[in-house]
Amino acid sequence: MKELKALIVEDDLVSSRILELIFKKNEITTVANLSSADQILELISSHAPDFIIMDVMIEGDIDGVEAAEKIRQISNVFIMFLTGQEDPNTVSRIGRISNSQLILKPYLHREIIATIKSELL
Amino acid sequence: MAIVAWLTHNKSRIIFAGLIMATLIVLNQAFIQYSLQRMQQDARGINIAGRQRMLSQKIVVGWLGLQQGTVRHESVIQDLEEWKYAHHALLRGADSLNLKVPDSPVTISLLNVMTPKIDFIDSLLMMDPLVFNIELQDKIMSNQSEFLLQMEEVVGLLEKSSDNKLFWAVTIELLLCVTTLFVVWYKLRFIYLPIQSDLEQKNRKYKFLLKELHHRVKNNLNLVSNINYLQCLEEDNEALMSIAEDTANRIAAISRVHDLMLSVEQGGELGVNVYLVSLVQNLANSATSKDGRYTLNLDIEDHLFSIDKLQILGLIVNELVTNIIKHAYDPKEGGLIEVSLKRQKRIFKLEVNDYGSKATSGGSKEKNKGINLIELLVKQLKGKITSRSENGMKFTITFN
Repeated sequence: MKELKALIVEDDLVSSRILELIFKKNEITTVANLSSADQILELISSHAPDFIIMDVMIEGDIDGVEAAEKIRQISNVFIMFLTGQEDPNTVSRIGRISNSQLILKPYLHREIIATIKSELL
Repeated sequence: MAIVAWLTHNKSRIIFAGLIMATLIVLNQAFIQYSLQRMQQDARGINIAGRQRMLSQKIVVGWLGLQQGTVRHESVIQDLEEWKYAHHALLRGADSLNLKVPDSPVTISLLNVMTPKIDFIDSLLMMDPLVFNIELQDKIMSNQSEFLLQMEEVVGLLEKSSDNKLFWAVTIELLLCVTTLFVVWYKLRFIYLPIQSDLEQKNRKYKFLLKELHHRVKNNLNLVSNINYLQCLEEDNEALMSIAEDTANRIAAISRVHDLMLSVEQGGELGVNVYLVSLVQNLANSATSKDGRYTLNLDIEDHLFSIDKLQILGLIVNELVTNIIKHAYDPKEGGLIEVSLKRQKRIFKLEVNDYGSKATSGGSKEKNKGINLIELLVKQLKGKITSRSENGMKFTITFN
């Protein structure tokens, strides 16, 4: 089985650390753990992650969906969005991002692992 | 200045506007009653003036009758007295006829001019013996026809005065009406609307704060749950992970009540049905693996409970269903989970059943811990729990 590389963008550090440990248990390496989208393009270029976990409400000037729009200019990497609110506007914006999936909070770690495995393996 | 300061309070504005309204109503009524009374007097005056004209003619006829000996002297004198009395009543007012002195000086001077005409007839009729000749008869005729004309003028003047009063009554009524409308507008614009918009604003604020509070509580519960989970995850110990997962589920059951309260804020119901159904579904979904699936049979009557009771019920169901998922069935196969809540008379009956081959009570130490917590929660609910093992485990909890 190929070892997957993950990039996590999540400003709740406890949640992001949990994801990192869960990934580790499932033999997924976390290449970076960001709380804003500031250096995301550089990190994608240098680490080439297999997928990105993207919280919609993150620190910084842009939200997760805007960050994804920027990412799409350089990469078609699989993006998994996490959001706590079913705001129709956010949902429709996410719908326009290709090769992506929306997971509502509170999510199950099992659910995230299953989605990654079915999408990437 | 004190009044202006006083008027800045809504309560005093209401009192002030109320006082103005009351004053306007009293003024209005007083004015209407006064005008009606005055107009009634004019009407009586007009009526009596008409009668005077009739009497003046009746006296001429009486005079002619006296001349021919067909009319008695006393009868004519009686008409004369009546004529005289009514004339003085018109001129000076009389309580017996409910008459007051005329408003217009023109009317008074005209009536004064007519007095000698009455005195002339009076002097003729009082002569003893009565004198009859053609010259006197002509004098009487012209005296009475002049009286008739002048009285017509008096009637005209009285009518004009009455019309005048009506005009003023209507004008002042209209003014009062406009003032009343203004006061009503003032009340709406400066009292009710500001109070209403103030209340709406406060209401919006409190709704927002309440929503925010529920979100905060949920986020905090989630954070506590996550921190706990993270700690156990870092220990890398299976037993600890199992405890962390159980705790996360318990906290989720508590947190779910806040979702329910939020939905109530948005017009939903604080019903037990929505709460327990979503709780059990969530537990079953999270336990459903690739191989094993759990079938749910949920029959939960919708009743209204206090938040405290709802939370304890949620925790009990959480424990029982978690036990079933953990111990009753082979995780690779899954199975049927039944939850029902019914009310019989005043007693609520909660049943949680499985049809697994493994017992969900007794046995291992871990299972016992779960049962202990359930007993504690049932005790808090002041209820009773019974269980029987019959093609799986059946738990029955009764409470008020």
